[in-house]
Amino acid sequence: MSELTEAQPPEPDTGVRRIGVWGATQSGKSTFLSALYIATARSPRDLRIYGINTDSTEFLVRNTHLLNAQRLFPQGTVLDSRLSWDLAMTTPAPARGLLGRRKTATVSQVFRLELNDTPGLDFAAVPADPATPVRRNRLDIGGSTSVEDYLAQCDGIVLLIDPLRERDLGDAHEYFHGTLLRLAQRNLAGTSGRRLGQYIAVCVTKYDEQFVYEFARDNGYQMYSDTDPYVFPRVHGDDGKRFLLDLCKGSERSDVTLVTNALDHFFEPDRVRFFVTSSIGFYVNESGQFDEDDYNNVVPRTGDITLGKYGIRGQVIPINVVEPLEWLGRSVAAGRLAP
Amino acid sequence: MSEPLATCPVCGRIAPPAPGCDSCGWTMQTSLRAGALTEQMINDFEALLRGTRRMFDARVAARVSADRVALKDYIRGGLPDAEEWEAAQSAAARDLADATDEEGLLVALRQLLDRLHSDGPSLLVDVSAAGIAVASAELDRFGSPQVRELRSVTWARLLPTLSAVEQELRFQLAGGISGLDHRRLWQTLRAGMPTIPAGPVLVICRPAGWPVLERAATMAAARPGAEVVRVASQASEGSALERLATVAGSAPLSRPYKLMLAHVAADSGAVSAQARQLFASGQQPGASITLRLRRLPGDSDPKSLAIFAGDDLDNGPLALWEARLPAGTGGQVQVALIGPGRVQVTAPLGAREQQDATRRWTEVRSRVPSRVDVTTTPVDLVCAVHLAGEVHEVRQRMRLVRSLLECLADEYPERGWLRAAAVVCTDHQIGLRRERQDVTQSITLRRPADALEWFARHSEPAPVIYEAAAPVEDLLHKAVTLLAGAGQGGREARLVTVTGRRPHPRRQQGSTIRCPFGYDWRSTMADLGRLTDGRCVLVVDRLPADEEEYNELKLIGPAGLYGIADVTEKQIAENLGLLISRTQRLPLPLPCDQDGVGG
Repeated sequence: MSELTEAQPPEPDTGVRRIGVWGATQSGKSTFLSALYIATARSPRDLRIYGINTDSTEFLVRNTHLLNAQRLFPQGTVLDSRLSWDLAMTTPAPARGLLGRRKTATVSQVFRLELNDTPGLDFAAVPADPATPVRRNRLDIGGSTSVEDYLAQCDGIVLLIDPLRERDLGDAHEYFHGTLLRLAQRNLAGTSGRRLGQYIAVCVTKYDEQFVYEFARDNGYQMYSDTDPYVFPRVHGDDGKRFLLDLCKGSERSDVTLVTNALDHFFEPDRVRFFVTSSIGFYVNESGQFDEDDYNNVVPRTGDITLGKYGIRGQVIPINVVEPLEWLGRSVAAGRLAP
Repeated sequence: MSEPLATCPVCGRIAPPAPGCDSCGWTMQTSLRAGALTEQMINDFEALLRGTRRMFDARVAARVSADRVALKDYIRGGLPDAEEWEAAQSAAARDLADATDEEGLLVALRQLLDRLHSDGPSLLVDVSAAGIAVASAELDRFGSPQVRELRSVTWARLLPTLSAVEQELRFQLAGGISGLDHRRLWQTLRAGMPTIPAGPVLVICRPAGWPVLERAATMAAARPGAEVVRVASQASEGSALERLATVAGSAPLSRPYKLMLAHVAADSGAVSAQARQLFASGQQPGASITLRLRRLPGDSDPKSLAIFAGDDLDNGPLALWEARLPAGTGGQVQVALIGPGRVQVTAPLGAREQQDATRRWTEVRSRVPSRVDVTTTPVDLVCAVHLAGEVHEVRQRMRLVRSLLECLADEYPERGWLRAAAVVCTDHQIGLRRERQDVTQSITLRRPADALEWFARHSEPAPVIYEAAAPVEDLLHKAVTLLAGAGQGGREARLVTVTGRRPHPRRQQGSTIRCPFGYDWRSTMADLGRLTDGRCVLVVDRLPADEEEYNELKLIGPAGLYGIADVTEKQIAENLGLLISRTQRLPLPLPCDQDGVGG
């Protein structure tokens, strides 16, 4: 918000901007969105999220309860459904003042955050089972019927990459390139070398996991914010891409460079930004602050594991969940209003 | 040819040319007298001779019997009248003037035994109405006098010319040999005397005053230093040899008798043999002593009770018994001194003497280990049990701990010798403001039976809350507190931990969350290691396949790390040094703190 140079009363903006969520199976899409209400509630900024229909509202209600009260992770998405929320925020945006002078205004923006609440498999390039056709034409979002149609209509995209899954399975590109190429075909065919216009917030998830955290800690990626009451370690956005590449470097399976290079090639460089995120954050004990000796917030569950093998140990304090959306909001708003 | 020597018509002694018999005083020669012998003179002479013979024989008979008529058939001149018999008895009594009595005999026999030494045997020649017997008396290697008859000969074989009739024989031995050829008699006696080996000789002549016996005794004592003891009484109480054996069997000990015990050094467990005196030198047979002995816990094998004389163990034990001792210090062993070289273990019941004590002792000695790994001092044990897990898992843990305590309660029956404390825990709670709940319960040190009772009320399986770790560090922390005073008063400390999982780390380790209290089990184990001298055993539901985790758990069980299915309570107790292992069992008993009291 430091770029706000001139505070102005919020101005309504009736245009609907879409932000889509894109990620491989088990990349944490459901948990990311479930944590979003908690993240906005914890944020000191002017943020609100609410469903635009009953299903979407119930999704937030149910999963917020799961995370915060029951300390459980949302189950992975198993049924196709259409979930949409409006994320209201105030963003700085360029505007024309009197005599046509440029100025920066603070405007109230509403973004339509949409979840193809489908298994991430729908993003696969080809079906895992050759006998099963790719279900690219079943979606009915905004009049579109395919994932690429859906993403093509988005102004911003949250791309979730699970670094642990990428290290172990190396399938991020598999879930990425098919959709990307189809999206490019749809939006770029016949153009003269343009790039895709969407803003991409690449969220490297599961920062709270021991391996990811320790990699960041041991390789000099961590920084702290003076304003964070929990004094959580974070990875600066400018380092996010390098962090992801470094993290996956030793893996025999991962070829995450294909993803990052494709992002470079198909999108405008200033429209791609990396965020190292955690939907649940680190465990905070009675000290009220991050404790490097006691930060694990995910614990194996015992007894009835139909609700999941893992549970959440303490409070859910998301890291970099709101920030990608804020960045997308600011960027989209700035792009729309730019002359 | 010389003129044959005259014999005395009264005593039969060959009289040298002399006026009178130097034995009985009969006038052998008188001066020549003129004139013929008158019948009166002959009658007078015969009456005198008859009377003298009667008195002579009556005196002989009086030596044999107090009954005037008992030997009347052998008294020449007829039955003496009362006055003559009284005179004969008086004369017989005078023959015993220098003789000693039975008490004197015992004194002489005791002196014989007292003079025994290891150089060689002393000899006893028993000349009696039965014949002549030669015995040796010597000390065996334990210093006990041993009496052995070497040879004996009856009068019938020694002097065949004597009567075969018992009464007449006794009459003859007592001096009624006037009708025999004395010269040949003594020659035969000398020739037939049994050989007497070299050595100091004590000759017993009993009854004294019997000329044949006296002559034989004189012959037997014909060597320098020989001593003759003439005993007035007849051998109604057994022969001198029998009396000597009796005296030897009741002689006081010449050396102290000692029981060989094992001693275990409290600090090193080194085993040494130490002799504990049972009977002091000079102790009389009939004494007994009761000792309180014990065995090492877990060692129910019979214990060898090896009894030695003096300090020279090379001689081997004089006796070796075997007896089973009860657990604890209540084992009473009673040893009775029957006589020199003879002891009897009268308690505990079932004690049995072993044959060939020397060989058995060699076997026993070879089985004494150089050291043992078992406590010899009072000990405190903490049993720490993790109660979270599947019901059957928790019950298996509790069964093991209960079996251990029951086993130890049997082996440590004395109050205060083994104290047990108990601590149990459930899993740490997970979540903010719940994790710092104390999940342990414990009781302080007390009797094993009380700990068992407490466990019966605190063994309910609890649900698993966190599968990656268990509050073992809390159990260990509590164990330190419970054992904190163990080092005082010479008590040793032990710990057995039974758990389903590894402890929480002090700091998050991998994804395993730390102990909410920040307990560092490694640091705690260092304290426990000092307290227990490393006597800590860990039992887990399953041994980890991961080497790193195994090595980590080994730090909690330096004295033993086991999967619960692969260990018994005895194995745990052995590893804790609370029961002796089979290979270290001691064949010897150990002393208790209190010595025995003689009885």
